[in-house]
Amino acid sequence: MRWIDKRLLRFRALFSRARVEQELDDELRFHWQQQIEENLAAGMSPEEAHYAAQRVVGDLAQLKDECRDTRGVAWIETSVHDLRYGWRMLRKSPVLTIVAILSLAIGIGANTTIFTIIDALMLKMLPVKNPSELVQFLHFFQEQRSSFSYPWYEHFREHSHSFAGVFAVSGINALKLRES
Amino acid sequence: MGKPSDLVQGTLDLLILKTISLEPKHGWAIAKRIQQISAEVLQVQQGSLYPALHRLEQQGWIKAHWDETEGGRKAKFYSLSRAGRTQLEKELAQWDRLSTAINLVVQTNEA
Repeated sequence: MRWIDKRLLRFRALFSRARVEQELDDELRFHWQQQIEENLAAGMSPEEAHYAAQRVVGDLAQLKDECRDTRGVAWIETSVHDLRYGWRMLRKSPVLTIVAILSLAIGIGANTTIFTIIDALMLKMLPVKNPSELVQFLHFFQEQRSSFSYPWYEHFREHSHSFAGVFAVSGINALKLRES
Repeated sequence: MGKPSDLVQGTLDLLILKTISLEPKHGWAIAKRIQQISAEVLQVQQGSLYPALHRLEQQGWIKAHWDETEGGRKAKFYSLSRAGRTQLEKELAQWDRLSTAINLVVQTNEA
């Protein structure tokens, strides 16, 4: 159950940080004390023994850092610190915060609205049952495309037998009709 | 008399796993044991031992628990996990291959 052990250790490193730190401290202190005792047993004076042990141990802060790095949660801790820092900064200047939030809200809102319109008008297929059965009537007059008058449309609607229905639109170019 | 990791990279992990394979040991005892068995040739510095122990623990190869030493002090003892035992066998086999290969190269008479 190696992955469970690993998750548990991560969890512990994040949520029992004080204890994990205390244990690291105790562990390294134990090593240091053992070193002092060995030095004493070798015939050093207590002062010498302390000094020599200190030299062997080296830079304790750096050693601790290296041990912490193995926990693999540093990036989470840093992110949390960053979030907290950001939050504090935002609270320090409420006016700027409100302006920033409003700008974002308006910007995102406007974009969403515009996209919704474009999506409905240009991207989505017409909301009919079988788009492939749609037929488009066009009217040309002297090689120029022109429109049907409304009575024409009514005539089509009343006298059509081949179609399930007839509808008219104006501004046909704004609609996406797939030709097939 | 450098750190073992100066000699062959990755060897320290193998030395640690091997040293605690018989019984749980704390960091100090692991360092002393390696030093003693290697006839004082390998001296594991605290600066490389503890990061290695913590890394091995995070990887799930070894487990830690707090216990009393013979001297009545509290110490963090490390023991092999089941995955660690498999890992030790893997690393031993790898070491065997590597050291045999290096021996073949350095002991050859045909230069």
